[in-house]
Amino acid sequence: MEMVKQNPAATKIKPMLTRSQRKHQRLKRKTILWAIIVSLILVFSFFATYFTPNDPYETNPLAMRQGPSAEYPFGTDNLGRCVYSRILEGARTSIFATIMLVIISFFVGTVIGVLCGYYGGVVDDIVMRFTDILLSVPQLVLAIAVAGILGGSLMNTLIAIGITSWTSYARLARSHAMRIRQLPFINACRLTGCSDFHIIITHVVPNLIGPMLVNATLEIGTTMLSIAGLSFLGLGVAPPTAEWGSMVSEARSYLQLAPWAVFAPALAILLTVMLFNYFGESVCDLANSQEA
Amino acid sequence: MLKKLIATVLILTMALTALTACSGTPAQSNDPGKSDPVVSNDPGSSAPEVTAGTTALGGTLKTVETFMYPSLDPVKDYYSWHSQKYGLTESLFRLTDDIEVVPWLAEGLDIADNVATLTLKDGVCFSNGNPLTADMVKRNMLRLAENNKRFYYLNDFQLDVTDEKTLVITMPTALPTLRNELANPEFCMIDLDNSTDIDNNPICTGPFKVETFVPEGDLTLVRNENYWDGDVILDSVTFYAMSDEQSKLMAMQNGEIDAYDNITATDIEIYSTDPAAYQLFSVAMQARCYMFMNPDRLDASIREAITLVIDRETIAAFMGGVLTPTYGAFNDDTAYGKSQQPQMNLEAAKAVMEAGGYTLNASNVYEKDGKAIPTIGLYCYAARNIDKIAVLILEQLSNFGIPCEIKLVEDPDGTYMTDPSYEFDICFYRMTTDKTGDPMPFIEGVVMSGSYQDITGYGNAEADAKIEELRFTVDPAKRAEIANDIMKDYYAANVFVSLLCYNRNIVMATGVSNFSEANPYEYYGVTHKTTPATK
Repeated sequence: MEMVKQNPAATKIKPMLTRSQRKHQRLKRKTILWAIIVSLILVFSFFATYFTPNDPYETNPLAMRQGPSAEYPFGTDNLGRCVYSRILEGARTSIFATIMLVIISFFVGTVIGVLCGYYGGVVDDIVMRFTDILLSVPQLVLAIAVAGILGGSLMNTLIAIGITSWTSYARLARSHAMRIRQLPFINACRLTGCSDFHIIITHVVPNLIGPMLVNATLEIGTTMLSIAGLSFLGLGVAPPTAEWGSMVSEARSYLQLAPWAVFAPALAILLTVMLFNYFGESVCDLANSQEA
Repeated sequence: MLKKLIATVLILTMALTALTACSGTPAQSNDPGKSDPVVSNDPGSSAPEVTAGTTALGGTLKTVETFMYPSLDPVKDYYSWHSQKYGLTESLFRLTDDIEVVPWLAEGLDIADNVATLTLKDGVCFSNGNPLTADMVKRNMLRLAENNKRFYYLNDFQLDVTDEKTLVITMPTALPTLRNELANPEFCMIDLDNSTDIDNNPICTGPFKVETFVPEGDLTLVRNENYWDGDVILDSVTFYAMSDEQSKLMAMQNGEIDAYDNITATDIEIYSTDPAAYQLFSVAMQARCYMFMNPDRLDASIREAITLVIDRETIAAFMGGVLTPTYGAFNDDTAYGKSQQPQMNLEAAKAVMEAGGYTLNASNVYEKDGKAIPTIGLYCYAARNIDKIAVLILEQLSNFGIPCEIKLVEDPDGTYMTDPSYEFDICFYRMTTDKTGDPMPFIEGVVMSGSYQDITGYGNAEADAKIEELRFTVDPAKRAEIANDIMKDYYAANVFVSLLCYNRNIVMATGVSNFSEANPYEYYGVTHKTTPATK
């Protein structure tokens, strides 16, 4: 009986990928990797409070400004509180406040933008001129003014930043909605008697959600820095709440005696913002390659 | 991605390298060989030229002020506190390091019932050489009465000039504390005839006169060649407007400034590592941090327990020499400061809560009739360590079983101190409680019905009657007795808790002296005897 030899390579024919497809694959893998890293940070920050080695709010006059040690991995601050524990505790405040603000701004901005872009008219003009006014004022300056009026608390900080942060989403959503509403299939939907609500939900929003999400991921880092910046200026969380920006601000006054109390939260901000920015960039690159 | 990771690592390395360069030890940064003092480049700080007795004349002193004001007019607001500290103005009387009232521009004050005779020292003159006369004193007092609401009472005084150096003051009723009143920095003298721009360049009697003044900015003063009380050692003094403590620290370390007061606890620690370069002084001031408790929102048991729970000693331990525990509005070594509040006593606090019907629940929170105490708001502001004090009190009360949260406000005078609709539970304030060596200003401003700080609604007819009695009592022993009685009742109401007394911490470069470093009042500073830093 004749044995038929089969070439394994012949059975598994590797499809030839184009250069752009290979690039797309590479970007996809990169995005997934950043997404995993960012997800790990989110999960970790959510549960971080359960892993604090010390009570982040417990003061100790005998442990003031102690250097890093086994008991206090990142040293202690001016009131003898464990800096490491406060960074972990502050992760939830800093990261989740950012994520919450981005989600709310995303939702509000998208809804306003879609409605303005889809319907147009006088309301669109009024809303867009209003956003022009908000965009013409430096965001942080306006946030400082609003936070100063409302007083120091995390909620007031979010309101102060949120007042302007929705505008970028609104403008982006509006421009996409204006483009989509003129596409032939939208006219076809109208002719078949679909309601505006149905068209917006089933056709407009799904077609613009991609670029909106890309924008949202890019905004995370900026928003986090804004919250930390306001807290640094004393307009953020009320003491003794652990928050990275306010920790840097507090420890700044004794930088020469306990530099760790400044550097640890500052590095936490730096690393987290960089990671979220890398994630946002990779999502943006992936979206661009898909379009290409 | 690898590139980004490499970039991240590089950035972090660069940042750490840069920061390492910035974080020299205090000893290193104070190395005279490394410093480049601005003062040494100043021609004004060159070697002394003239000598007076054993003290060389000449030199410049550079210092900082946290708050600079838009005007130098001493009758406005509290600006005289600063103009006096600058060495520009001088009051009729002054308070010594031992809180004794002694004549300054005045020679003496004779009080007989409701008539006081003020005599001026011979030879006192303004920086333009014009002599200080009784008529000018009268006009300055009238100007003060007209422009500063805290001195409106002067409008009821009759002022009669009897000769060049004598002013007779007739009061509607006897004012036993007139001598103390005249030690207020506001009772300083300006040459009203020749001062064309009082806001920017008043002509006064102090050892220095204005050279340049930027409203809310820097101030440079030069020696008053006509100073009446002897030679002025320094050629000039510069006050830089600088509110940031880190900037002050670095300016001092770099030799850009020679002295400043109200230094922070951590800065004291840094300066103390180099006693060869820095002199440190600390004196207990009359400024206190205290808190008010709102009886409408906190019942008597909770208020009393809070008074007993607060551990001032521990708070002071955190503050490293900036604050000292205090149990009353006045120092206990004064005759009128004998009434004091109780010290921390947790057992007594528990007993008070239990007597009030409160029990501790499983969450370590006191509850009454099954209802836990609602979270108490600690209203405070981020200045003078008050927010830090509030954080520590929050911890102490929370550990005891009284839940609290901090409510930060930007300006207490614009919120809970003045707005009756502002509902606070506990609020913090800071004030000089003993301004002139007499209890009356504090009692009148805090305890009396309708006074500025009667925000707890304590003021009552009985207390007001005692305050009126105090107002007209001349005998010091009797005055002390009345004051102690008033304060005893006030403390017993548990609406006021005196917490900590501020220390006036001063750092001076080697060579600087006579910067009023031993005086407990922050409105004294540069004098004609102040010496420059040693180069």
